[in-house]
Amino acid sequence: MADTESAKWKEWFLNYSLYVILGVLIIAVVVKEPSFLSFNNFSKIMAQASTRGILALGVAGMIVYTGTDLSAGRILGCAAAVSASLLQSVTYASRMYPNITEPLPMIVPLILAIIVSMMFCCINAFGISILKMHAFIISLGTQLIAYGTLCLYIDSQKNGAQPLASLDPRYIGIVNGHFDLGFMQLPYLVIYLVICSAFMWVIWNKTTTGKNMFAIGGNAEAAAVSGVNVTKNIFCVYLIAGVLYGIAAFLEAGRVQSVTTATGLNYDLDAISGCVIGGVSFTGGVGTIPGVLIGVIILQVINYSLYYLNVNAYYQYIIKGLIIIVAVAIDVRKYIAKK
Amino acid sequence: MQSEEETEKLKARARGIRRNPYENINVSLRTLDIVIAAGSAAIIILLLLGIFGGS
Repeated sequence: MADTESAKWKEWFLNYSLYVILGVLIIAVVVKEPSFLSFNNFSKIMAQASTRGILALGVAGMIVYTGTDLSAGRILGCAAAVSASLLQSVTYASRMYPNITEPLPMIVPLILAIIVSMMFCCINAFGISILKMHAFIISLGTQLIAYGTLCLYIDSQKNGAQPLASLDPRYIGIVNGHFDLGFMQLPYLVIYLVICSAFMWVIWNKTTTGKNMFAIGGNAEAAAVSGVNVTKNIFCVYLIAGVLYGIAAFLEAGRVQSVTTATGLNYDLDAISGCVIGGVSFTGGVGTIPGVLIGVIILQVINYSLYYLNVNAYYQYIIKGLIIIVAVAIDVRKYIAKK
Repeated sequence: MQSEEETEKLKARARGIRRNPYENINVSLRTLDIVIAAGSAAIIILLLLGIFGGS
């Protein structure tokens, strides 16, 4: 009887070890700094998680069909540079486009950011579905192309490579604004994340594209035989990801209020880690939108809490790396235990 | 347009392909348990070391 009970506990711990880690982290942080547990901090964590969350929603679709995207962060950087450059304050003397003397409508840079992201995503989709390249390799190539493009774009300023800052106050307001709920502030960024998540949930669960994506991830050959157009579907997944990257880039530029060549660095790894932690299986065909969001929030809680306590940033890299290894081990274990 | 022969070949191939690539992973549950437990312990130790180590 005691053996059964202990086996049950062991099973529970192994399946939910990431949540145990998160619990230990929160308790430790609160013991060290009781003020951590506040609505204000919660709101900051959610705001910071939102752009990475939107990025992760795009990457998750690719992982579900057994692909991946190492270029997401650099694509975000590139698209963020485009939107920031077009939305610099018209009173700023060193702006990138001095010819823009009237503030542009917000929708223009947003659409351009989406188009830039979709172009890069099209390269990835073309390589994977037409040239049959591995997603890892093609997205590695795209990552470098996007980074080079970003550097050239930022370097093309009249005054040389300087950060794209002094953004239009309307832009900053739209991105960094918040609703005052009395007990806490609800950032607009969280609302944007919720809208994107709802949109993706509908695509994943209620559309043919979503169903086909899971079918391809489960068994591409079987899906092809069943009449699924694999090439078209992969393009669809990448184009949807492109839209999400564009939105994330637009929001990220407004959030940090300064775009440099380092913008987007390692965001792809955070997005992939969030997906893996949230239960999106690298074997394909498995994953949920709430899972992705939980994964991203867990990572953000770790980042924020360690930063809050001024913990050496190098610890974060080691911890994140270990978390990914544990998450994948849990994924494999769940499958083997079922078998 | 695929020929009937090609379609049959594809169908046979699809039947032969297992759904999950983990199917071929020959690793014991015990090994995975150790990896998960050791990894979790290492993360918790690092977190605690990071949080309380400086004080």
